Amino acid sequence: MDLLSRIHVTDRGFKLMPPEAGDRKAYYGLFTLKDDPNAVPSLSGVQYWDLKNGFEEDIKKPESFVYVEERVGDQVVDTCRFYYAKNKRKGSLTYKIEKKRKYGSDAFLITITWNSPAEAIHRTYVSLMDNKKNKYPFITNLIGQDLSGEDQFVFHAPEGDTEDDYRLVFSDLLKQKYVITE
Amino acid sequence: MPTELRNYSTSQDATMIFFDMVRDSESFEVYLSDLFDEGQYIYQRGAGMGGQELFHFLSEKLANGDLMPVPSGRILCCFHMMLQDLTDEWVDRFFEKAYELRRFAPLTNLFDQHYMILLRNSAGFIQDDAEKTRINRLLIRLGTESPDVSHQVYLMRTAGFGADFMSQEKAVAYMLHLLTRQAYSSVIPLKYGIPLRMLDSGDYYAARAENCHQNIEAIDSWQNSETDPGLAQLIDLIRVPIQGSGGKMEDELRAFRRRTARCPVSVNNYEGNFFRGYHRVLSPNHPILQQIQDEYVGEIMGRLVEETNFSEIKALLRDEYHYPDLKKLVERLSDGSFKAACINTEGQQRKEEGKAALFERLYEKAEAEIRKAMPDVDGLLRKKLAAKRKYTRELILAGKYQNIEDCFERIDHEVEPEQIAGHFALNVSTTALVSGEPASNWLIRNYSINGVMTAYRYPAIRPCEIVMIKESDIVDLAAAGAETELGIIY
Repeated sequence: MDLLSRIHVTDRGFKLMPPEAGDRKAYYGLFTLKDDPNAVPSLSGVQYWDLKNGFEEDIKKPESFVYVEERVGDQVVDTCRFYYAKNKRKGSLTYKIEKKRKYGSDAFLITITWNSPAEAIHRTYVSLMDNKKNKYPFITNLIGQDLSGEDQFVFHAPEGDTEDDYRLVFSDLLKQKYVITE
Repeated sequence: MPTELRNYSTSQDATMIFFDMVRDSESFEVYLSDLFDEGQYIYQRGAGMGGQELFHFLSEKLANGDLMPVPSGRILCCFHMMLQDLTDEWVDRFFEKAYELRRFAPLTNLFDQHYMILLRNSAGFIQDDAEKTRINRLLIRLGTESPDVSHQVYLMRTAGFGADFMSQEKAVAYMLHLLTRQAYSSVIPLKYGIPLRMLDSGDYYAARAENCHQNIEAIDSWQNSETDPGLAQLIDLIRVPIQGSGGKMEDELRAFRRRTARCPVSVNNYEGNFFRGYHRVLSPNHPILQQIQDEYVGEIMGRLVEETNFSEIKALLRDEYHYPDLKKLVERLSDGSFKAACINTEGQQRKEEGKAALFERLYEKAEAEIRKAMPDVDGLLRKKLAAKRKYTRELILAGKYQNIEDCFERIDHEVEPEQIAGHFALNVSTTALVSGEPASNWLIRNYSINGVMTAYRYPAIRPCEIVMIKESDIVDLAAAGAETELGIIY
């Protein structure tokens, strides 16, 4: 069984079931949406759950993104990331794309709004996709850097393209926290 | 009564491994490469290998594709050594190897794994009586121990000044070829019991002189003339695809830059006034833009390296390049001037972003391809020179028979295992193989070979058109008086 399916989320935190075979050690760390998802947060050890002791990792914050990795010796053999929330209600994130001549005859304005203003979002969680499924990354460090819970972006499309040809795509991790509406 | 000509299938049915432990021996390597195709056999010099080592050696060869597996799983293993190198330790290791190789396939028939031991000796070479006694004892050990290993012991013996093993070596090579065929048992039935045997062969080939001259000329030209002075052909094979990839990379980058207009940028990156509208202010050195571009460059580079192939290099090195070309290539590779010739001519282009790294990686791929396809140059030279010596020796045989009829008349008499004074060969068996023109004219001309009842149509034998192999028993190693009889033969 892979790492993610061995993680059981509880009211206090999570339990990690031991692997079927192999001498593995597990570590975990917390991160936020504004961290680069390719970076590894600072880690602490995880005890595997067993019948006698029933180890469970406490997560103090009411909602967090959790990174877990397993190593054999120094070699990282498996990693996963998931969203943990004590209250099960999801946040909401909406966006709209509209033509805005103010920025040029071919310009479109994207407005993204979400209800956790204190949380900026790393650029890699969101990208623009056209109707041919080409993806265009955001050229910015963070979305919502000013912590207002709203941010606006502009792109230029070839002639003839309309609002309906474009939409935003979000990573799974972001979708675990927010219900996304257009 | 005319000789009957039967058909014989020559598809290979056994894996053949030849261990040559005779120093300075080179004929077998040439004979085998003449008769067998690549991947059908292994020729290995020296055999310090124990059983396990041999097993791993063969497993590796099979895994690499150096050796083609045969469906029957039959193994034929041949050891060629000097008679005086026979020791107790060698005999122990031989039996150990035989048992170890059974791991490849369960034996359904004792002859599924068959061994030939060729002992080379010149008459009068071993003088010492104690040495003779030691060798006699070992021969008897080989003949009597482990009846569950199928092996045969051959003595390759010549007498006299300028002794020549050629006809016996040829006989062994043909014999190995026959034994690896599917229908071997109909021609050479393997017998239980291990006598000491001898072999001889003779052949006739109408165009032999011409063929030898041609081969010698080809080898001379391979050794001395360049086919690609300056290695321009090879450099082109590398440079052209590299340049092509460079062009593709440019196109991709241009397209990428066009695409960046569609990458969303924060409204803060727009400047302007109310009347003239806003415009994008984004430095091309913007760190995120650079990062995105680097990622993209890495991705297309991986793709371009993947799709660029240098497969023609192998054919060029193998089929076209001669010794001086190969030698020059080895030299230029080691001093780095080859690389410079392949990618440095485009200094202007290389300055552009990402391209230098792309060219470097493509060149590395091409060089890996060269190293993979590169033969062992000095080994190849040695082999070619050995072949040249063989053809030079064969030229002497060229005028031996006037025509086919003359050959059929005399060959039975002339092919005869080495005479040993005061000793009679027993159980002489004759195998005659015919191919090419005489085989196709057999019925029309009503051919008959002196002393041969049945000959076989054997298309795999080239360039010889007829071959006769004679095999005779010298001493029954298991018999009571074996030791006394062995005393006479060397």
